[in-house]
Amino acid sequence: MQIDCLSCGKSSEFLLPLWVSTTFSFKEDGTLSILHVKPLESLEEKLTDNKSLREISCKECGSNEVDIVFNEYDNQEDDEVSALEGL
Amino acid sequence: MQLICHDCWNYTYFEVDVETLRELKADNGQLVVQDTKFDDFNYSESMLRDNLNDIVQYVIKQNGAALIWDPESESYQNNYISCARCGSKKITKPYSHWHSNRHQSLDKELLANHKEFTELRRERNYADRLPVLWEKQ
Repeated sequence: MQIDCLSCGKSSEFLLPLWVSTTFSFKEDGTLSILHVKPLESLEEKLTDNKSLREISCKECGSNEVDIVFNEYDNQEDDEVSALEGL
Repeated sequence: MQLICHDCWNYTYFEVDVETLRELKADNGQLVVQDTKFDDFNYSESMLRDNLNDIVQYVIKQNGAALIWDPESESYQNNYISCARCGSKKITKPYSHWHSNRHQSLDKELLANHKEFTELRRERNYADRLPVLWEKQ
C-alpha cells in the first residue's frame, strides 16, 4: 500500500479524523476521567470509500489532494512485460 | 453532581461521541496506524480530551440548547451525551426544568385542561347575568 501527497509529494505521513465513542466519569473534584474509547468508524471502510478520501490530509503540508494505491506492485508485471517486448 | 440521567439516576458515568485524529504511515507496502505526534506532543490524545471536555462543558452550560424533543418517547433527549449505565439519552443538569418525567406535550396539556378552559369561558359568557336560582317546571 502506498499513499502519495499530490501537493508536496514528499510526505509519508497522513492524518485521518475518526469518530469514537468515549465512556467517561465525573470525579469528585469535577474533572473528567476517560474509562473506555471505542471506534465508531472502520478505518478500512474509510480508506476504501471515495467520499472519505477527501478527509485524509498530508501531515507536512495539510493538503487533501491524496492518492492511495492499494497494491503498488499491480502494474510492475505489466511494466516488465512491456520492457521485455521492447527488447 | 453536574449531569444526571432521568431514567436510572446515574450521575457519574456517561458516553459521548467525539472526533479524534489518527496518523497513517505507509511504510514498505504496509500501513501503520498510530497516534499523531508533533515532536513529543501527542496530538491525538490531546484532541480527544479537548473535544470531550468541550462537549461536556457545552452541555452543562447550555443545557436546554443541547436537548431535542423526541415525539416517540414524548420527552427531551440529549443530543450529545447518553447514560453509560442504561443507555438513556434523557440527560440534563440536576434540578433542571427540562425534567423529562414532568413534561407534557402541548396536545396532552390542552386536552387535560379542556374542562377547566370550558368553565372559564362559561364564566365569561354568563358573568354579567343574574344567577338562575330556580327553573320553571
